[in-house]
Amino acid sequence: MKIFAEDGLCFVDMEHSLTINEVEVFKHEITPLLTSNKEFLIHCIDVVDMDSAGLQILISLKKYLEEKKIIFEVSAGIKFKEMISFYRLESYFQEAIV
Amino acid sequence: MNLDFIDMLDGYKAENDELLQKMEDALMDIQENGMDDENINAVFRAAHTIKGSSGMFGIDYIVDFTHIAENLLDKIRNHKIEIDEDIIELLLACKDQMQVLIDFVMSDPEGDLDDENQSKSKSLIAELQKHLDSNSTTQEVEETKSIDNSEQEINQFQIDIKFGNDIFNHGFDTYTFINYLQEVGEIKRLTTDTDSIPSFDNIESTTCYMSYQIELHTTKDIDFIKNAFDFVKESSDISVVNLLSKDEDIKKDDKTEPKTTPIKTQVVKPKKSASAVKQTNFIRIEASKVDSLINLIGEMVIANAGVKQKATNLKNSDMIESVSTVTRMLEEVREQAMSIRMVPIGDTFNKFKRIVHDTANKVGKKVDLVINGGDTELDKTVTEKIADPLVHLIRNSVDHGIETPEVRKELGKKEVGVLELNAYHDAGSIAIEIIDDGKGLDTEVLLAKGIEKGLVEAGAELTSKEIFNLILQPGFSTAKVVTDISGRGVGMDVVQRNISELHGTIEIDSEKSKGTKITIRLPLTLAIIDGFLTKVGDINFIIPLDMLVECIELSKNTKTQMKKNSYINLRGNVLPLLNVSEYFKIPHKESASNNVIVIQYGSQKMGIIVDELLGELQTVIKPMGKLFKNLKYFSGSTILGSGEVALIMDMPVMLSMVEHK
Repeated sequence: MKIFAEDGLCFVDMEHSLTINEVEVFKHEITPLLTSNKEFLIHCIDVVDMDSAGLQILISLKKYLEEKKIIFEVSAGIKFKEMISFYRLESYFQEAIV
Repeated sequence: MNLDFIDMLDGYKAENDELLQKMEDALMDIQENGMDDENINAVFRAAHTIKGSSGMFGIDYIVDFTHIAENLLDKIRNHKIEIDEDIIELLLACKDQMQVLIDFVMSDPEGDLDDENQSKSKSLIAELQKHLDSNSTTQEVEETKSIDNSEQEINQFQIDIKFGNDIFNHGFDTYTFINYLQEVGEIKRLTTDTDSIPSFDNIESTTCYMSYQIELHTTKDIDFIKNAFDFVKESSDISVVNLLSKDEDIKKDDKTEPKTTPIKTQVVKPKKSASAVKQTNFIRIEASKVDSLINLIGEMVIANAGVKQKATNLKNSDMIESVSTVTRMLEEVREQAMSIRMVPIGDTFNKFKRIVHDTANKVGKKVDLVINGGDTELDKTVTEKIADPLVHLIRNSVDHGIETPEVRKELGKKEVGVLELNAYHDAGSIAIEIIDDGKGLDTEVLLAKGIEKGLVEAGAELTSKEIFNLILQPGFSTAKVVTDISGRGVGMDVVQRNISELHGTIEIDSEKSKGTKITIRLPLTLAIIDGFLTKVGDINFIIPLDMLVECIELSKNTKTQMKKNSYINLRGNVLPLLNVSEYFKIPHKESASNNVIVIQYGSQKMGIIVDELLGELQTVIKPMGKLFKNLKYFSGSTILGSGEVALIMDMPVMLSMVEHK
């Protein structure tokens, strides 16, 4: 996972996976950035390994940012699209996908 | 097989091995004591769970096979079919086949079942079906037909799942369960409840908050669907409702007005029985983790001994006191960790019921197996390694020891022979006895065979014990007929070698026409022991504390009385002595008096003459290494706080050496 935070944007590159193995680091790295009010773009284009824990943490982040009226966006790769389709969450993420 | 589960195969195997053992135990119990609802339900439950978990893993050939066995078991437990000897034998064979199939999955998780196993499964299914058909009443046949028809009908289920918070941490993914449902039917509707997931500032990232509402159309029945969640049912809230059953109208209403949040009604959680509640107190952990914990504790014990030595050298009383506290605590940690490794020998003994049963059937004998002391605990490694030698000894007893019913009748014995398996703790070791009331060993025949094989010189006078020990020699067999069970002349020597490798001993006692008693003594553990440190010259020796009876002084007077004899009179009993410095030719200063450590192993006692008694010591047993593999008097070594090496005396070997002297 790589994070670039500049010019009012937090760009989080998930690289290849977003699974139970990454979620703790994800939470730990993202939490300090929440106070910056920067919009978030989660880059999931290259994600090839994703599980329900990964999806859950994204839903959780989306909820938080929407409550705070901060923009949450996801660049969706094949795996991400597969997951949201499987869980019938296309409409839930529709606005967020760029 | 469903490849999402491939990482969980070890758990699948461990759980199913346990279930199969329970199945066998229960069947053996029914065979012994007659039909019993509790036992047949246990067999049914085991088959049912194996089918469920195999279904979840997508292992269809196990599901199909177990399904038929389960059908028969269901009829037996509902008293529609009466269980008899043939059915028990068939169910035991089915249990064996399930084991073979599970082992096959482990060896080739992605492969199709081989032809041999397919044909074996088919033949057993045909046998099961024969019993199902021949025992079915017309009404039952109709019922079966209706079930068959219903299997072709599409069932509609409303499934509400709130997964347990801990499932991610247990290696499960909700995806796998839902994907499985997709494989067995069609998911018409799936609602992921995003409301149940906390906002990012409140979420525990590895906790599962996922819950779903699913409408599934499938040909499978409600039990099959419920079984899909067997692995997570304890911690999750799961409700499965057949929309076409009695609740149809209510649920149809739900369906017409789909809710966005999960329905919390009709949570179908299995009622916990007392045993189920008890089970939650156990966790399954990899044996390698315990081994590595014990190794670490061993290293800590050695490091702590070093610190203790330094504190003593510095004569710093505060430091010595602190180190003593740590030592005490470390001892407790060690004891607790060691107790994790201790398992009751009864689990191993119970597996022998089947072996006795099968062997007796094969050779046309009747044998009752009596087990005593099954709750005696022994180190897991020792238990595992002793199982094979025990199997051999038991088979030998049934095959060669116990006579056929006809012969026993002629001899005025009961038709049914008795094979006893006893286990008990004795002086820091565990004793396992295998006693049969068969024909016993014939010393004349054994001696003649020994002479013929060149193991004994003609005319040699041997004690009974020495003659019995001939059967432990490689290639020694008196069996007139070689069977596939025993009598090939290989085995007893291997048994002895295996037991020696565990630093144990084997003792044979027999009386012609009365029976044979084989006693195996094994150390309780192979990892860390309480030892007693002694010194002879510059060499440190450790004696296992459990075998130490007392320490006495060998005064100048006693030494004079002894002259050159290697024994003393200890309170009216002869105590053979081993002078370590003399025997191992260790240079040391002669002193007016010496110390004698009295040790006991089984019923034998001996005294060991040493220079110094240095006190108790937690002893981490380190193997001697390949270079010293032929050094038979020591079972291992340990590292002392000073960095010196101490040799751990193998007391059974020492005793046998003194006995021969």
